[in-house]
Amino acid sequence: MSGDGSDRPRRQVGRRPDEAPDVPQAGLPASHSEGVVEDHADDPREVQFSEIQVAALFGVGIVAIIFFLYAYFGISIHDNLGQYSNYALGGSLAIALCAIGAGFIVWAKKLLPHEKTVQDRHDFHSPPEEEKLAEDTFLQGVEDMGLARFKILRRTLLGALALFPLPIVVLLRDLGPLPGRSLEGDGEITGWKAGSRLVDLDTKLPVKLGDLSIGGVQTVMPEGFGSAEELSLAPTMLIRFAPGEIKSDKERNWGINGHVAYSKICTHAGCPISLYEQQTHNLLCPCHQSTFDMANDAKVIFGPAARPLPQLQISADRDGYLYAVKPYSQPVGPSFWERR
Amino acid sequence: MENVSTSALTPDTGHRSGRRRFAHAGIVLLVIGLFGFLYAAFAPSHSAATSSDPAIEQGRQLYLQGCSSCHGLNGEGGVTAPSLIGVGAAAADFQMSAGFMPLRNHTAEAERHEPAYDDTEIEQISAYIGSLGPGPAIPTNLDYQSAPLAFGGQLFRTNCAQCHNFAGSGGALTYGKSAPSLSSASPKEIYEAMLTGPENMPVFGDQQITPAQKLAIVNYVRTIKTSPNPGGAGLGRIGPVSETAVAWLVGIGVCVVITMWIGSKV
Repeated sequence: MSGDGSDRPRRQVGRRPDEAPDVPQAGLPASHSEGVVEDHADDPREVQFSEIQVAALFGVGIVAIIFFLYAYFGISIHDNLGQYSNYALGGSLAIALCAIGAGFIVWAKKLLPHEKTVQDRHDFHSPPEEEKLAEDTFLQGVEDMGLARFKILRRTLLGALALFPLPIVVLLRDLGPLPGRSLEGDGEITGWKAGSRLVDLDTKLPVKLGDLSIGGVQTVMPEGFGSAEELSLAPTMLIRFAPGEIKSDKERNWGINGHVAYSKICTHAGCPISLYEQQTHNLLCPCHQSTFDMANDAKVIFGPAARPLPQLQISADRDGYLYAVKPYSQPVGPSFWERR
Repeated sequence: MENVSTSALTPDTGHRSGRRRFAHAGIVLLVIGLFGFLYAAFAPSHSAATSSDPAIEQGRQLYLQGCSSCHGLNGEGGVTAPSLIGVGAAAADFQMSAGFMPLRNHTAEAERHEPAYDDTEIEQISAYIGSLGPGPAIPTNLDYQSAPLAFGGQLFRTNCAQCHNFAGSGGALTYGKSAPSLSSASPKEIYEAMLTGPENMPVFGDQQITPAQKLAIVNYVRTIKTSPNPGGAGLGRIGPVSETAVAWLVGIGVCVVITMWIGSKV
């Protein structure tokens, strides 16, 4: 691949591909291929026009920068949340940078001389004598280390390298212990205990039978909730159905007078869900479109969720306040690997 | 009628005496008569109530012309339309003033369009539907501007944002349905929608979200609707979807075009 001067040029810079063949500069013979200045903007009027073009672009940049300074000092940021100030600052800076950049490009394209050059690439191989030298040096180095002679050294080296992964394995142990059945335990990790009253998430007021209209949904928490862990695991939807709408006996028995409570945390990836449709009883998770049939044990009818939402068994005390009969009997939130 | 009833009471005929047969028939007649009496006792009082108020009577006429073909002559509902007994005047007012009813097409959900009735007619029809059974009335106190804005925002994010988007821009639901944008909803429509739960929207009754809290939510929705976009274009305020689309298509697209311009040999 080494180029001798008479080769045809392989690489040309600044050549016009669509130049008409009768223009003398096009299709240069090989003898002209190096260092030819192709000043195609030789018409003085064209040069002048290009100069005005570039100057205009730079002028736009100057105006935009001045406007930027005016906008910074002159437009109040206390009105309209600084909306117009932000528009003016960002807009003028963008126009200034674009105009100056475009000016440079037009300058380079229209006014700078276009030159065709050929650049030869050298061979990728080193000369054979250098390759031989490097090989010899390497082999000499291996021999000098004397792995063949020093037996104990060799064996201890192998031993050390063999033992080296052990610390990594030991450190991995810190990822454990495995949760075992603890995630399926009594469920009090969620903050719900047997007898916990249902309170509204925002007002923290206890919820009575009849507070919720038929076809309503409410986000409830265990009374006295507080910790971050409870806030992430405890959110529960209270839904009220019209008589006869609930299809599952278990769902009906775990609720009271058409009120049922389900975990608000999606069993797929743990997003909070309450896109509840009161006519279809579909509950849609906005993250990955898992859809649950809330009138039928919250069964998954669409999407990636692997299991129904856990139901919280609720009842009402003598005054009508709703409370949890027992904590969640299934883990809330995303499914995990040991779940059957 | 008599024969059917008596034969049902006496499955194997022949061994019962004629007197007992007549006694059974008498009981059946008595029951039928009782039903008739009860009907006569209740039905006239209902029609008497409708005719007492001229607005309700006017609304009934409009209802019979425009609504009864689907919702039934007495609002009892039909194959394609729900019963209107007990939905309340607020539900009727919402559906008609927001332009969801009368329905134009049987699509996955009702589409919003220009109201078909004027304000007086809507008031009259709503009054008639409100008289069919107990239900939420049209809210009268809509003085939302003094309601607590921050608390309204908190309630909105807990109860509304999951479907209507954090800025009230609406969002998709299941099987072709969607929660509409709140940008064109009037304060009264927002209030009534919470109160009555139109279509698939859950009902947020006054025991769950009190009237004062509803006004706070209305204030929040109206405020975010009119508040400016400090960072530039709102891009529909639907969050990362539109922003990413613009960044990829417009931003990278412009970069590619400029790069091609710089590299072109003209």
